[in-house]
Amino acid sequence: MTVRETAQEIDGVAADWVARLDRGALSPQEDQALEDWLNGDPRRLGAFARARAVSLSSERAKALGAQFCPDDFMTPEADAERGVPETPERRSDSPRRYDPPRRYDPMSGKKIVPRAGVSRRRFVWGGALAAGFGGLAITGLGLPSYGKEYVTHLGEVKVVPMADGSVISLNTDSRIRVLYTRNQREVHLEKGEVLFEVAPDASRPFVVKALGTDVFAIGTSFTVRKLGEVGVQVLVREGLVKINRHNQDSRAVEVGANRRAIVQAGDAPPTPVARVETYPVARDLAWREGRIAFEGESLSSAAAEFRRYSDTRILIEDPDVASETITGLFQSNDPVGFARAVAASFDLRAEVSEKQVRLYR
Amino acid sequence: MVRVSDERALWLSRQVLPHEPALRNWLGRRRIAGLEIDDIVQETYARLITLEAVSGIGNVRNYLFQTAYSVLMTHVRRSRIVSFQTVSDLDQLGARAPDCSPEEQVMDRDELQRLAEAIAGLPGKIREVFILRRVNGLSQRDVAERLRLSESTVEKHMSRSIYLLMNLISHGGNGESRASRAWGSKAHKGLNRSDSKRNRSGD
Repeated sequence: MTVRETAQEIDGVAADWVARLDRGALSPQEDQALEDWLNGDPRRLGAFARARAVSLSSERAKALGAQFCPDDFMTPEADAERGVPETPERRSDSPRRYDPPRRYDPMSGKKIVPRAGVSRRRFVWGGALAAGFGGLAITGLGLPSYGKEYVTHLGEVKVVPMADGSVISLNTDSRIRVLYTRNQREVHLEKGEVLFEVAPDASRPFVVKALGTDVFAIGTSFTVRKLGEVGVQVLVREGLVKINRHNQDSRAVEVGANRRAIVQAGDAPPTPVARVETYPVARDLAWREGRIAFEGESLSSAAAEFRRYSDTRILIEDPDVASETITGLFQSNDPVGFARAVAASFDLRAEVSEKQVRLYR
Repeated sequence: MVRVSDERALWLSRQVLPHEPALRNWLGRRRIAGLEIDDIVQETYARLITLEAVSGIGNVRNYLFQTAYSVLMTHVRRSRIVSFQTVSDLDQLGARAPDCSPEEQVMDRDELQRLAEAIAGLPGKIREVFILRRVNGLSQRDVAERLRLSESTVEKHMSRSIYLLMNLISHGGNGESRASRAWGSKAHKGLNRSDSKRNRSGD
């Protein structure tokens, strides 16, 4: 099975085309390029049509009027993300760094910084809080010096858009602390696996730290996964990252797109900083859409992978069954559905009990 | 743009998009291993865009669900992994689309509010660009001039905002409670009378 372009990737290109059309008419060459792209996969036309529909639908925003102030509509989650204080005592004179609430002058489009003491209109609505932006919910408040904490529980995936335009996606059972300062954007990976889509900003490097390993983004998108306490795995989707250990810049390695680097925490010089190899990165990113992709993996390693997302265990005692291989895309939070589908296609039995599915012949 | 006419795109945005979260919910409950909801949705839109005419479609919601169901069945029959049991389960569920829930209808009036929230949630510069372009109605060129950005940067920010709004609709469709609250989940009241009767056969 070749790695299929994901729906998300298609959506990304579709959005590019719609934004291009929003700018003005296409040249004949561009028109041809769009046509060629659309012909490449039946889903693309659908994504493109949908992107145009979403774009058109957003034109209703005009009804919000020139006086529209987005901060009046910030949900508390989004506020927290931007570092806007929650309580009245933490005003603009607080030592904590935050972006002041933004208002826009309708004529110049420039931000207007409100005078201290001007109270903001606040919307508090029970159930709607859960909606936030893209269903985003942020756990943990974090302390200023310590950074802001983001956590996902077992089987949960969370997408966090940052104020600088970067997007951070947390896979199952993960924890990070984010510390943006004037000179650096720093993320500490304490547990799990996280995808970083980094907005370029030459004046503020973006670095991910885990187990004494520093991963520097150079205009890029990559994941960092902590392999327990023994190592760190880095998958590079786009661009380039630089990895070093314990600030030894002279020994840093650079890792390019579609490659995987494994850093062993125990390794000391003169072993290389990381083992780097070519790797099907796109397939490993299925988790962003709540999926797990397999391509010829054994059932036992598939079962282990599902264990990362759910506390329901897939138990395979028969070694012959365990070594059967599987290919396909599955819902990561549904080990039982996976086991049943496997049972059906390998002619096995699936015995479902609480927190366990047993597969046997 | 020959392939997607403005008229059809408008039809999608007015008549189809509002039902997408409900469609995703419905597809999500089918729980078929190895099938991506996003793929089904994209192919469904592709079928809707290639229709000769849409004026004859009386109940867009039902038509949308039926189209998605037929895309789904095509995949299920082609797929190696899905058992025949799943296929017969699907057949029993039938192509009947669930009707609008009262909850979804209530959401109608909050739609603009939700759009405003979605805009508020856009990150940094992207939000600034989007507001000038969509709320204040400046051209991309004028936005670029005003913010002292290149036109291509403005275009990139617009692309990102459209992508994020698309995602908001998709991710909003993951859970029932979220779906009904996310922007885009507005149900067209009065689109057809039977929508007001709650009758879900799929559950």
